[in-house]
Amino acid sequence: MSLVEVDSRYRVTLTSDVRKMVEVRKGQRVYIVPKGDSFVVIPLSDDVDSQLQKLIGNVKFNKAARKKAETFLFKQAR
Amino acid sequence: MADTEFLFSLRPKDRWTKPTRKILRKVRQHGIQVRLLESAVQEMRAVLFSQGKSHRDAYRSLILIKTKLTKHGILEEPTTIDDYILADKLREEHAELTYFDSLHAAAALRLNTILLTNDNVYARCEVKTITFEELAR
Repeated sequence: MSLVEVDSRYRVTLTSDVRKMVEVRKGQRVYIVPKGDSFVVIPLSDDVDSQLQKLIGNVKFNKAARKKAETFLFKQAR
Repeated sequence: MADTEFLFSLRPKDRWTKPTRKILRKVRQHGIQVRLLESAVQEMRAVLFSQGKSHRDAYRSLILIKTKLTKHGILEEPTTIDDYILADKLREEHAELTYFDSLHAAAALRLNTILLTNDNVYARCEVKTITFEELAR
């Protein structure tokens, strides 16, 4: 936990306490999404393609997969 | 207007990666407008969950995809109540359409725009389409 100030250009500092808990490097891009009256900041991988491949590279997308997704969705809705 | 296949084609080893890269180049260099249907994101999530992916996998994938879309200036097109009404009407008339086919088709019809898709199912409900290869040319 740390208390920091928003500077004149709306920047905030990620203090060492925070960096110890969530690894982040200088120059690394982060994704910021508003959440009510706060923000969620998620560090992004440098290599978007390889991360995407790692996460969902094995997911099938064809007629059968689409049908399965539709069935899954309708089951969830019940 | 891009459907779900476009989202999956952002993976580096997808079968449509090559034309998609060309399309993204055209978007950046020639100002061609491609917008992503919200229903495509809905379908992508359903596909991921139905194949056992976790919520963490889903949101991390979506962040990466959003990063790529933002980089290329591709905007999102929200789904409206009109789309759901039209989608159900389309499904009543065309039983061959899936739940998501009908949503993608409805948005394209409402906006009177061209759907970027490799699926030929849309021809039956008078949706104008263009394939990845055609747009990449």
